[in-house]
Amino acid sequence: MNLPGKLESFTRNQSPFGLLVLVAMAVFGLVSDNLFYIEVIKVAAIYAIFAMSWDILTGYTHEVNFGCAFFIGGAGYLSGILNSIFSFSLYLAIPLSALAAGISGIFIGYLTLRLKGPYFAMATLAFASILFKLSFIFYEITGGEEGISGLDVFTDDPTKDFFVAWGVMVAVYFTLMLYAQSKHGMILKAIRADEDATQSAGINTAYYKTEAFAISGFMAGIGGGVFAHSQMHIGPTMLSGHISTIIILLAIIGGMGTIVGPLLGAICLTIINEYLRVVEEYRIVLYTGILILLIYLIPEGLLNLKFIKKSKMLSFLFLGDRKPT
Amino acid sequence: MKPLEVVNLSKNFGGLEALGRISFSVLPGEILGIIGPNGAGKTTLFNCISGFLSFDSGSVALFEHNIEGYKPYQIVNLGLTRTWQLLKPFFGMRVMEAIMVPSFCRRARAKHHSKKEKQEKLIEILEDMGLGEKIWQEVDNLNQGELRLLDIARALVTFPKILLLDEPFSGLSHKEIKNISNVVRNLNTQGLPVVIIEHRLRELMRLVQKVVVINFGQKIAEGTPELIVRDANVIKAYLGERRPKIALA
Repeated sequence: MNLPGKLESFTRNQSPFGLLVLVAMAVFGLVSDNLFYIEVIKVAAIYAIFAMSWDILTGYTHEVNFGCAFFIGGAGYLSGILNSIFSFSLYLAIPLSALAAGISGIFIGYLTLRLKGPYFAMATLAFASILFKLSFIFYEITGGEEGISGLDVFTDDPTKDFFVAWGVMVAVYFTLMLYAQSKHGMILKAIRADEDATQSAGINTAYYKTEAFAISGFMAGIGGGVFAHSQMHIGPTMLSGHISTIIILLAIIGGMGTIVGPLLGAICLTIINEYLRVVEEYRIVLYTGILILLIYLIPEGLLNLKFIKKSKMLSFLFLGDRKPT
Repeated sequence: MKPLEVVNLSKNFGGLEALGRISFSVLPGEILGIIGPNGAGKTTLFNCISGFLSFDSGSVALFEHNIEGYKPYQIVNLGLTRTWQLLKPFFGMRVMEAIMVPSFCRRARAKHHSKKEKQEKLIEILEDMGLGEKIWQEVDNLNQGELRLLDIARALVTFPKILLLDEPFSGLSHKEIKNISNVVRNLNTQGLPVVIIEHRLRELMRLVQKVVVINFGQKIAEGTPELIVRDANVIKAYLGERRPKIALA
């Protein structure tokens, strides 16, 4: 019996469906000249970054991080401040703020290591709330309720802007896939199954959990920075519990612990949300109604459905899982 | 050099003395059984030795190396690995993946020189355990006996110099017990010292060379299986004392 090498297994285990979604978005961006649609799939791509970055921590360890707004909004604000006040180039501001988000991920990860279940969720929620409040207290820098406007943009052309967001999303997707399929992802899955047993396998579980937190924070930070600059604006909504909740829902509905699932969930649901603007008065009601319905009907998420996991063809198509014969 | 030496180990939970000055040692190539009634402190003893619980006083030495205050994963990397009474399988993974997790520990990485060598070793361990045909199965689909074997296989992947088995026979049929006994005996003939906690005394006594009996956190006896089964204190701990007859007037 031969096990594939690391790189080989990476190319082998790619989800064809995930790749198809990435390519389809690029094709759509090239073909369509409707600015509204371009704008919609740009936002969808950024939400996909958020959902995937959340998934690498929570989907693989099942410790629900309710504070992803901390990384998204925090990095967005930091990038905005660096750009507007210290006039850093956005190509420097975004990586720096993502790095800061990653480092604070290590810090929060270290502080919350011993917490489990709802206690962990509450602690992460508290961190995000602290930042939310701070954005009002330091209104001279952060602009309080209004946030920071007039940030530099990537390009003047919405299509090119979309391709920047798409490129970042593709990079995040492949990085997280590589991470999840490496020994790190395997150890996180083992921690999800049983942390004590993983320790008695000689693995320093605290290290791997903190590492996952840092990577999740870093990726969310990149997303937050890209979001702030593509909208030319960052406001306190990106630090609120609202954004955290939406991202958690997108990822869970897509199917957590698969990376492809949150990508799919975020893109589909964001497009639905924006499309519902044709009936703007009822949009929030309809959108949250759809989310509640989906969570009620498929709590395990689309790609974690039993019949997909059981079927050889479907599990290969969606998850890239080749069942050995 | 003694693989494991426990000296005057004590552990209190609040006012309850779970372990009181327990001492014993494991000699090279020995199978030691630890028995005692429910709640005697056997699993607490294992948790203290393997680093999952801190202890109040005493010392635990692994090959004359004091391991007090070490984290569980550090102790595994020094060569002491344990299994679990309540199975803690890696649900949601395949057997091959589950067995690969311990191979990422520092101790196992130091032993393997190439990837191919490592894979062969993992497959060899699974085949020795009789799990050769289950390599690509989901862990969720294994039965209780196979999960026990997988738990032991997982421990072996870390290249232990001493193995602690916590009730490996619980919840198993006679055939499965025989299977696990053979596995343990085979490991022992290769020179691996094994410590077993067990309730199923009949099966245990055939396997071990020395027995330590614990009751209410105290060591009450130590010796060969033949001596232990005749020991008055042990019989008292398991069966209770004959009540003095009250003369009926």
